Amino acid sequence: MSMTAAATIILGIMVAIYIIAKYFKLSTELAMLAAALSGSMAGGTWLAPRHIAEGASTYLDINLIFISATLFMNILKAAGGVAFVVRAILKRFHKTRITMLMLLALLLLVPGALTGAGSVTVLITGGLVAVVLSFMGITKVRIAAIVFIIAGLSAAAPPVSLWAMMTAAGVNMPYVGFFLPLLIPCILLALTTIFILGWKGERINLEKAFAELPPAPEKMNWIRVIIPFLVFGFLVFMGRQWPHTTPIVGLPLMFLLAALAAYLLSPVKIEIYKISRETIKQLLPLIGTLTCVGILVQMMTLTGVRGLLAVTAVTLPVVVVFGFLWVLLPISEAVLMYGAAPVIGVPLVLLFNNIGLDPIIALAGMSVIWPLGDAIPPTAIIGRLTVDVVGFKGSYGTFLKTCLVPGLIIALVGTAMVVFSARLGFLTGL
Amino acid sequence: MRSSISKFIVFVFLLSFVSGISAQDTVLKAETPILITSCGQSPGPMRIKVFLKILKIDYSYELQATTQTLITAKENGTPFKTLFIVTGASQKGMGAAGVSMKDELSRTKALIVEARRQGIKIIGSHLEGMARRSQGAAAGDNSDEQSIDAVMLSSDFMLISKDGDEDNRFTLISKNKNIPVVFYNKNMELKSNLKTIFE
Amino acid sequence: MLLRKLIISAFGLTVLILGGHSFYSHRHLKEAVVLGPGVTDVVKLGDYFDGIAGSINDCNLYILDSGNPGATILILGGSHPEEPASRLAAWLFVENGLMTEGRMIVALSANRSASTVTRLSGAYPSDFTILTKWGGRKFRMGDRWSSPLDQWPDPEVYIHSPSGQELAYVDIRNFNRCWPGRANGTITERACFAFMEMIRKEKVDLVIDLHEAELQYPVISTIVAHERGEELATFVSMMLPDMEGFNMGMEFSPKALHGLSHREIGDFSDAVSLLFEAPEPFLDATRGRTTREQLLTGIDEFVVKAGKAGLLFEKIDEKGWHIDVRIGRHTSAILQTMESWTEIMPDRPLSCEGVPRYAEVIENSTGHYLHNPATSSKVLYE
Repeated sequence: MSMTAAATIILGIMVAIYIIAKYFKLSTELAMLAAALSGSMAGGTWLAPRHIAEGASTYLDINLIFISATLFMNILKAAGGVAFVVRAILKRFHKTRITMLMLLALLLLVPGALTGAGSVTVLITGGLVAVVLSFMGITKVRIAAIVFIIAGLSAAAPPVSLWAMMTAAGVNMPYVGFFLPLLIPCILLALTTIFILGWKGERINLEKAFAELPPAPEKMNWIRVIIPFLVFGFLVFMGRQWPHTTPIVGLPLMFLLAALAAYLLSPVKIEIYKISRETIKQLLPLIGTLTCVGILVQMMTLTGVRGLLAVTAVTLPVVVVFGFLWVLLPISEAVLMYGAAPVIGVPLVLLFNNIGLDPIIALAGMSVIWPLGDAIPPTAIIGRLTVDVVGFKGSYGTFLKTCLVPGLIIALVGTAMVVFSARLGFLTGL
Repeated sequence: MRSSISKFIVFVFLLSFVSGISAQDTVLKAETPILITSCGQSPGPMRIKVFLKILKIDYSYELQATTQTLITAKENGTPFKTLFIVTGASQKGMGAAGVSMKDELSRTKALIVEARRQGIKIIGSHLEGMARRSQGAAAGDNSDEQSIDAVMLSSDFMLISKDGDEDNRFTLISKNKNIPVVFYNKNMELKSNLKTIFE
Repeated sequence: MLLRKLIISAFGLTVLILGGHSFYSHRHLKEAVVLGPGVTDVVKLGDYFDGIAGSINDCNLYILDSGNPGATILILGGSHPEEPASRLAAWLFVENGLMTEGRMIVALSANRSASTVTRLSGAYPSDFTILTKWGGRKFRMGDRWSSPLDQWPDPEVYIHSPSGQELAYVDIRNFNRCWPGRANGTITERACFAFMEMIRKEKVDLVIDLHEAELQYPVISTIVAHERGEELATFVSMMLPDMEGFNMGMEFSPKALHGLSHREIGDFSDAVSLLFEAPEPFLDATRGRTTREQLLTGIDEFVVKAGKAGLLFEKIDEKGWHIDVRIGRHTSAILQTMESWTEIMPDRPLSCEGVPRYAEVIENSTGHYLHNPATSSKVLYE
């Protein structure tokens, strides 16, 4: 049997098992695990425990970042810091909607830009911004869409853009020249998104808002709120400014140290054990998904299914690739998450480079499109996380529909960056 | 027997016609001082440099030589007599040099104009086989062929690795444009060809 | 509900035990090295720099000294242990080589840590076996990056020393992005620093870093040369098709791309630095089933399909790229480099006998040149 036929059959079995598992009301995580195991069985590698374990560890670092960052935000919330900041922002800027929207977009862009993870944006500033937006008369579903889209853009924004970095590493291209090609579209698209989805609303009724908002503890002040962020920012700054004399602590420990600062500065007693338990409970579905996605990708690689998808994608005619980037990239992200960069990104960048396009601009364009896939099932990790954090109770489909217009604009801009990359080469400064 | 002889004569006649001005029989000569440069920033020119060094023949090696290089040499009283332009594009080489194929083509064009003005002999060369032709490059990348067009049609004669003529590209240029060509098969023959040219 | 929990727990425990056993066996797999007639000494990398002594990256250095005057050449195998032909080509020098002029130093596991782990989500086999007449020799399959067990966590971005160039964060564990290394850096940076110390102390003249690359990577079947090695590399590139029957191009080492051996060794020592790339379809992102067989034969229908679409920078057909071909390319290229070096610098010659060339490795297979540890008296383990 040819490799194509074998991989197609295995892919078919995996998809079938996934659908059956969902039919029997298994969670998405377990359905993915079942699909992965069925693929392994069909491929003749049976249980393959090494590969299950290895796949499960693929996103261990990202899981740790999620846990530590969420713990930090939960402690800050419990300390009354979030309520304090929301009240302060509302008091100061409630009269000028444009300023409010621009500030909030910026607030959403920073954490993801620094860490490369959209989920960190959602966890650190997403909840806070959502509260402010709701007092601006914006519906929950629109708020969720704003937070999700800008969180994705923040992940693509420089200095840390994991898709660009991983793909660049895959083609042995230094991660230089990406700053402006990533920064300009991310800022412009973030503002476009927040204005499209957040422009219509009502004037903030400050009295009503203050009455509805949870009260901030009396002793809470800006210093107590800012210092934990400064601890985090300082650790990032140290690592960048003096990379060779500062010990490498890693993002999870940076967040834990920020959490420790928030704990020590809290004006109210923090039940650390309870909050830790709640944090894990809150994140368990996300961690489960990432773990199972890792196993799924590993099994797809083992059985040749990943190769089938990759070779099919890259052997499409260039015009078709251009035309379908807006579908191909988000779907690859939805299935493989960051794994999309080495699997799909590397061959595409090579293809673009070969036909005389600027690989840096093209990759920057692709990096802007990729995060859109974080809302699409089967993974939909950031999308689901955003919906949870924002507290949108409606159907997931409505949320996706609300994301559609800004999503299409982003895909259009990203594709245009790829197609016209040769002309935009000056942005790299190289 | 008679028929065999006549066939042989026809064959020899055709061969001499097909090979056109193929220079294997014609003795092509050039003089020092030599300037070696590139059109496309591939590592090809290094091959000429290595052999000229072994042969102890003086040369200047400037991958991005400009008209000013030729003018300065003339002003200093040591004008170049031969300009070696090695074709073949390297994206990596051009990236490292900070130039595009467009830059390379305009630099080469100007260089050829100045060389003609000074009466410098131009040798167009392609040394890295099909790997440095469009067949070795990716779909849509024709920078190798652009460099060949830019140089070969303006050269006094060509020095070519036979490996790179699988599609008869250089044979046809030689025939159609009446430009003599020296082909070599083994790389070591490049050395003896250079020796003959500059002896 | 309880039953469901028990079943899932039992499944988890099974995976934990079986998977754990596989990881442990992989990390502790002993690879035999039968010392050949030319090996005159074996030292440790840590002998040159305390900062690496006793660590997982304190690898063996095999010295083949002819006792006759000449240059010193260093062969780096295992910079990226997911490129097995680079390690095995170096292995053939240690088990068969006899220097007649000059001196050779060989590392088989330049980044030993990376040889004890496989790539997450890569589904690599943990090991592979090269068949011989007397049985088989098992080798660890490794990764491009040092094991997180030895170096963790990664920074949010890797800033290369001393250039300050920003690279992908994972590349702080990439041996060929850490040159020239740092004395007080990570274990990967310290390993590079130790090699630099060795190169300087032993007055190494020529360094060859052996690699393999996916066919989709533009720098393939080529020699990447530091500017001081350009003439040598050009000469070798011209000699290989004439003398050995295969092509290997030549590329200049980009001055702005930091951390790579062909750039930094040349910049930070007196040695000439070259990097050799052979084709390895196993590394291609479009590869099909990830198996030991594919690793060894390099046969892959999907990679061929990518080639037909014009996406590859090296040819591939149904015959694939067998590991014997890849190893033979490396051994011949090294031998040809030594011969060309001697031609260019006759006062500092390098000469080696006993190592099979391209045609010989293909004809007799790699296993023919690996000796039986059971019947050999001088055996070490990697």
